Amino acid sequence: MNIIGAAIAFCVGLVGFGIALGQGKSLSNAVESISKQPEAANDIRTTLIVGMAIMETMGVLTFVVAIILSGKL
Amino acid sequence: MNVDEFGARIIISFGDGEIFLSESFLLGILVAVVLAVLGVWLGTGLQTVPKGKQVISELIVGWVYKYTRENVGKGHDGYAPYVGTIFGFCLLGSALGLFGLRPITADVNVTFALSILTFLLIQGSEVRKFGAIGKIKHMCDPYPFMLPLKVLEELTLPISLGFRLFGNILGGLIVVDIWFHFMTYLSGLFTDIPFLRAVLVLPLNGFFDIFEPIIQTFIFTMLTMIFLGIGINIKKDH
Repeated sequence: MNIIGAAIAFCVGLVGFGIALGQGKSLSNAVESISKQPEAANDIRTTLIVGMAIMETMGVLTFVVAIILSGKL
Repeated sequence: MNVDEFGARIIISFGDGEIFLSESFLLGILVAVVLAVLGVWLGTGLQTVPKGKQVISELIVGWVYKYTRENVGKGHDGYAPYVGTIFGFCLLGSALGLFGLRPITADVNVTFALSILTFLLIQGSEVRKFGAIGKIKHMCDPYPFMLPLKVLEELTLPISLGFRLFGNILGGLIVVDIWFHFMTYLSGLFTDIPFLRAVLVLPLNGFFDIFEPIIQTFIFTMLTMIFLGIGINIKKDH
């Protein structure tokens, strides 16, 4: 184990922190707007899932980088 | 733990191992054959009044057409078969972990094949609709020096689509594998038989082999249709 291991753990943890914050905020806003306008629930749900997937891309890209890095351990 | 053990196994190799067919290739053909047989079987013996298996096939086909019409736009029903095919292939290919096989979408080659297909479809339909010159003219709008940025924007789509599907499915695969190692270790404390691996993996299978493929397939097709719709519809005023 060397500095690369620490770098992998750090980058995955950091990106997880950011994504959790962003997705939690978007989910809380979605729940709020569904409770205000239940008839728009389907549109909101679709937009929420697609938006969350786009946020998650950052995490997945970091994960791919982590796998590439872990080949060098 | 070795990362290399997660790669797709090589089944057949020709010559000195330079040319080979991997597990993903064979399982992909298997999935395609299963889907084709299922489709032909569901499509035979159609009657005016739906009965039996025709109800299910009408449900699936009607849902795919409705889903395409909502997201690509009215009058673009021609894209529905492509969307349905991608949906079936992705869903079945990612859920192969249920049968104890390696999901084919955990291979970066498969996901990039799918995403490049989508990219070519989008570019092709834009060029067919506006012509090559019209497309370049649109990309130079409002200022010609924006052209490199627009090219970059279009090239990002297949990369992000491919890596998203690959990363999610491979992540699930790795988590299930780590769980298996852990259960083997735990049951090794009592006896030699890894009995804890039997039932305790079912919740993880439910999440990573049923829920996650459905969500990821939905997102893949949804993004395909949204970008197709943006490319075809919004540029009408130019």
